[in-house]
Amino acid sequence: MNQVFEVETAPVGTRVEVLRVRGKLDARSATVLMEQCARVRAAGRDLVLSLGGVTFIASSGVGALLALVEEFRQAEIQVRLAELSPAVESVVRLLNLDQFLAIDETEGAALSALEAR
Amino acid sequence: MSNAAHEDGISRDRAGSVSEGQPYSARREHAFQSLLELARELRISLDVYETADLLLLSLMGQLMAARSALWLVPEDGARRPAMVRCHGFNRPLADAIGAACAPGLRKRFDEGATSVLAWSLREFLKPADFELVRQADIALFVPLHSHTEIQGWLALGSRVDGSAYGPEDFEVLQAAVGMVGVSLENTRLHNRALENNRRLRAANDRLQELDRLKNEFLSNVNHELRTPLAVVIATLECLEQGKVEGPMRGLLESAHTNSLHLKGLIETLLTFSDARNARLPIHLVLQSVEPTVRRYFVERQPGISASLREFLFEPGEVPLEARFDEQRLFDLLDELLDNAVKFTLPGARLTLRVRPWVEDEKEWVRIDLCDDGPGIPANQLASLFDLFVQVDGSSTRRVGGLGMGLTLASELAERMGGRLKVESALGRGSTFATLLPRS
Repeated sequence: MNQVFEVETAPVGTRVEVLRVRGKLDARSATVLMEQCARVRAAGRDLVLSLGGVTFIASSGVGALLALVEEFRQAEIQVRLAELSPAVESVVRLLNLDQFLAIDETEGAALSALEAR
Repeated sequence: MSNAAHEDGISRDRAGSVSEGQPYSARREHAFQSLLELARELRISLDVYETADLLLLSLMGQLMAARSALWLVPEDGARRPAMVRCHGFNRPLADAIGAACAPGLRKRFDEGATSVLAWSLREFLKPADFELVRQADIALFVPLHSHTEIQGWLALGSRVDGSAYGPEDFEVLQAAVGMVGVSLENTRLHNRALENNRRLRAANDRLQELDRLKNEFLSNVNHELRTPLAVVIATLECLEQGKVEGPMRGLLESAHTNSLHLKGLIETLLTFSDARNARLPIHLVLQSVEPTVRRYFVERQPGISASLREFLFEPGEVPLEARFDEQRLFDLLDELLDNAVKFTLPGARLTLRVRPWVEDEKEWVRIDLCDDGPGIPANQLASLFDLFVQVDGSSTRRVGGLGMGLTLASELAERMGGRLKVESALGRGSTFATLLPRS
């Protein structure tokens, strides 16, 4: 699997943006991800973070997820995680974070959940 | 499910808290891997802001906190800590909390505390300030040491599952801040060395250039001094020996004129030896602006970072050319940047940006230096470039030095066919814009 970190952006209409993250989510790539999410937040759009392509997530990656979820919550904008890769799933389970993050099986499910609110 | 005791919304410390349902060893392994990652990344990072992000994100991920912040103590001994990074809450709040908690925290850290629970600061804080800490949901503060000095401290919010920080968590914290304290000191020393080298190099270059000009000038003046002096001496010798025909008056006038000429030359020589009045040469070249300004940014960034101002560069989207002298532009930007550091506090943000500009029906390239400092009152903006004016008396006492920088910068801009403008408002920061002609 391709290890190079990249964030693909896919707006859905004007109110939602999907960011598909691929590669290793470590200290360096975490700051890149946070910049992209800050952009979405500043535009006032809801966010779906699709993590199917994340091959590895370090603590700094987890910290970044927690920070950006918190910042979106304060801005009263929604963020949902979708399609967690096995790497992300195991860390989320290890730290019991599934209780505090909004997680969906697929991007479609996440988009529906956003529409419903 | 949470077994933390809450008082006023802040978790109290209790012995042990292990997440239910996961093997203890798996969590220890995860914490260990996280510390390894931090150690590995610290070897590479040479920037204070990068290191801060590394530490905060890593700890938040390991300990499951959604908020964190890092403050550093400025090296100039200022009392107010500089807020370097914060996650999960806004900068003004983090700034205010840093200032309010500093005295109490320093007292506890000096007593040897390796962590301070937020609620225990209550006795040191005014109710309004304690309310800020509560509002930010901070659970604890941890100092960063290097050798015996405090470099700064970090704050962590409550854990997302509401559980209290336990002994293993404090172990992880101590290991992480131990590494980062030393790394930060190294980074600051390194950047300070780079900055000192840069200043020495610039001063050296300037001295060499002035020296060359002085020698050129002196050799010209030397020749010019000899001619009238020779006439004076010859004339006087003739007077002594009584050989000259014609009116005495003519000879005396000649001697007088040449003496005055000599006096004028000597005064010019003395004036020139005052370096500030030297008119350095300007060679205008039509060239690309962005690479030049980027070079300048890269050279100054470590030193500015070491003084705890965040320095950012925003290049334009389109390549732009203008007519200017690269070294004089650097001199100009130096004046503006040194001013920006002098008149902002640690924790401020400075931004350099390049963009096209139209004014007076002419096309320019505009180089902005913006700061989020205190700003300049409207009634002082007009006289800003006058020689020796500074914004207020108290600033002069604090930062020292005559107000020559802006006048010099303005003059340099004009000598390159450009201009220097300032936009500012109290409480809203300042932007110094250098306009360079596009043709």
